[in-house]
Amino acid sequence: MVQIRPVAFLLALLAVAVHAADPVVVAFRAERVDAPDWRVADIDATIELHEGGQRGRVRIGRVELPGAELEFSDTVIDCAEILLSRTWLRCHDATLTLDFPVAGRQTVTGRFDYEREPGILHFALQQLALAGGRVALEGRTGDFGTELEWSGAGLAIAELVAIANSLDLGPGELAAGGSADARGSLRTDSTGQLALSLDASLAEASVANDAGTVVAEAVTGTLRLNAEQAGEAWQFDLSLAADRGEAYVEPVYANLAEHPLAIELGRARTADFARYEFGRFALTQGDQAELAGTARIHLPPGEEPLRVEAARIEISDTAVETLYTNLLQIAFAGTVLGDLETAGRVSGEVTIENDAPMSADLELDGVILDDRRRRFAIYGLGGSLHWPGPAGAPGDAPPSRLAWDSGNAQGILLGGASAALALGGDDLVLLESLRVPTMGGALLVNRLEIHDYGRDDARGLLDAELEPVQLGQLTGAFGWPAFSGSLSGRLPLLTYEGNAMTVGGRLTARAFDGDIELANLRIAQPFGRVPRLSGDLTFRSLDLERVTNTFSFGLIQGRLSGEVAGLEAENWRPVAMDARLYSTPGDRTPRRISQRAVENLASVGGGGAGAVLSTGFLKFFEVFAYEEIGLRCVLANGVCRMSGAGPAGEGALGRGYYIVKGRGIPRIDVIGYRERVGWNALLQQLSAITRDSTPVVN
Amino acid sequence: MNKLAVAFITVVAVFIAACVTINVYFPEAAATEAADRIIDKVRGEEAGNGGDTGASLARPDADRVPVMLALAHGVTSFLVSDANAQGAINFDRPSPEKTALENSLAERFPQLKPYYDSGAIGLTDAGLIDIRDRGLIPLAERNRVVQLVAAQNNDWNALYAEIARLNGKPEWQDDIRRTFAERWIAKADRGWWYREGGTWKQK
Repeated sequence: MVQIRPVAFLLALLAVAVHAADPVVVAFRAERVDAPDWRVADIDATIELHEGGQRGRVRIGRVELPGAELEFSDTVIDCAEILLSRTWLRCHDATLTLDFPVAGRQTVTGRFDYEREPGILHFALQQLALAGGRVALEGRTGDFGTELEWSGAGLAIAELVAIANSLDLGPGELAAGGSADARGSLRTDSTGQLALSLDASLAEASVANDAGTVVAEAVTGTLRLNAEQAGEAWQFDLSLAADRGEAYVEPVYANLAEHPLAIELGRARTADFARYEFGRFALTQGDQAELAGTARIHLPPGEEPLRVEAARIEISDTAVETLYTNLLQIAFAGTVLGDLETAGRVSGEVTIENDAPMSADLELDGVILDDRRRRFAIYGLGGSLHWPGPAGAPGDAPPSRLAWDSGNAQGILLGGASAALALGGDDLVLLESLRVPTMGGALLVNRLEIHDYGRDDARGLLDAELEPVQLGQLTGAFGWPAFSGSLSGRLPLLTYEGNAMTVGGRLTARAFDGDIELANLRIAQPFGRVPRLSGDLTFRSLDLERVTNTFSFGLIQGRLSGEVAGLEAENWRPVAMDARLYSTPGDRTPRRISQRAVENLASVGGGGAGAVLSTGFLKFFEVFAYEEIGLRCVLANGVCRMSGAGPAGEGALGRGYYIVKGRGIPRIDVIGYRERVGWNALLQQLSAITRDSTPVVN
Repeated sequence: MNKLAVAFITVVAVFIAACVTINVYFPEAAATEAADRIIDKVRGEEAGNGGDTGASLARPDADRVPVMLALAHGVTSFLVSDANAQGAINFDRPSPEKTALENSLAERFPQLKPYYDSGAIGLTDAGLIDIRDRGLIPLAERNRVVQLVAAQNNDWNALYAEIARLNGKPEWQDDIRRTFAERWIAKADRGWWYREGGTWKQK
């Protein structure tokens, strides 16, 4: 075994040989050479000395670099020209055959310079085959560590990921594809800490984790990375700009060709490639989104989604639709906000902790929220929104001021208005009275409070007045014929408690020259799947001529009163009630009924009047006088139990009841016989009557 | 005489034990059919099209009732069997919420169907659905499927709660859920995936 300082020995040997006139071949063989930072064994060197200089070939059985945990076997170095002085040795025009770490065994060209003091090896290699492409690298290594710069073209990203993983530098198993042209550097210091930089242009780059929750597909763009080890952790800055391909980080999807993406991560840090801290991040996606801020995220391996542990996000001029379809819609799935068409812009600041928003200060501009199930919509919504977080109380944040151009609720059109609100965690308090124009009048809201919204014990109250609105527009919203008349009233205290809305006062309407009053109005689960309405409706002395004109029922003159007691509606369709219509007692106006109205009434009551009226002498009379009209429906379980203005004796179909009790000559009575009528069939009948001019007679 | 007494008691005991089994079995079969009707509605199929409907499904714990325990409680169970039958879960009890939920589930089902067929999503033994393989969903559709699955599961959970509420037994949600999970899997198309005990299997 030989223990010598190898370079000194070589220099001495070559120094002797350099003066020889004829080519001299010096062969050198060493079993083992040890230096502080490296060890080599089985050295077989041949150096040929000639007039022009020296050239040589060294074959080394094994090279060990314990500091870098590297070991090479069967390394061959051919130097076409060896230059040396007292302080350096240069091997230019070298050919090197080596088991390259990562790249495998191959023969490449390059050059080496060795500076004796302080013992630095400079090296450069060309045409190193790596990851399906070619790489050139240049660097130096010594006591201070290693510095390396490299550049490569046509590198396969899948293989680069495998290399990064084999060096413990990657985020683990990823399916990858595409290629990159890249340049970069690598530096280790004397303690072995690593620093990297990378500047790559990506072509059709694809990366996907196993679960398919983080995916980039066919992305073309540029990637810049500067990273350095700090103890156990990595610190890095990263920027990515891409204008082709698709990206998906569940649940956010981006089509980069439609909206180019730029991401900057600054002062980023990770110790385990699962938890990341970003001292600064910025994300711009075309004109769709511009976000920036700080964040701490957890990207667990497997199927678990990305978690935002903490974040402060500044939003600048971002499309509401992008935020809604990518983030909010999933959060709102199954609620009244779960299926909206959206538009408009938003900016502001949001903080997040453990995936839950902790505060929001937003500016809205031209926002549209339109329920696809047509329950509500708001257009041209703008203003500022300040939400103090889930634990905040109203007043903890500055007042929110919102204004909108128009809207609708259950088909009722609403005009533009502006509102000042104080928002709490799940509270809302109206700060100034609010006037919403609607149906030719307005809803004047004096007081509105909602507390613990979204919880079982949610409660609220509304103190509002209805400035006279056109009944026609209200009934039109429900698909009914347009009533003439107006509706006004005071909603002195509409309270919301136990998931139900109750109106404290009475709503009164002046319509058809009579009075309509709605009392005991209560709506259970107004925002639920099946809103339930209950109340009592009374009308007094309606002018039947106007009513029948409106509903094209056939002319009836006289006055009508009635009650709908115990009205219950589910999904705005009556399921129970006791409805009574009758001629207003004491009314002295003429009571007349037309042939068509008789036929229609008869068909509702289950009789068949058409044949009687259109034949015989009655066909010469257009109108008939009557004494009384009456109709009652007690609705329960989908069946209407019908009765009228008193019993009318037995008929072929059973016991009858007067619907119209005639008077004078010719006297005509409309008598109903059907006592139990299917409610849906009755509704179809009525709508057929009011739609067609030809009556339907069963 | 002694032998005769033992034989008699055994016969009675076996008879009583048999009664227990029947009492547990019967409402479950009815529930199964009722669950099938709801599933058919959601799948947009007419009732009875399923082919393998019927009362073949035993309550999962029916065969696990220890015989001795059944014997010990035989008489009591026999006496209260009527009460049990009356108190069994009635899946057909109507409510507007239930109808609304069934309609909403049925509305969303055609949008989910291609993903059942491709194996991207599957049924779970919790009576819900889950994404099995995102790789089978084009990238641009992936967040929509995530959203559809979340919305569908919201509705299923609400439906189980509503059926339990209609029966006045909120604590029966898990039984209802289990019945639906079993029936969904039993009625799944060939090639659909379902997850049992954390493992995905293909029908």
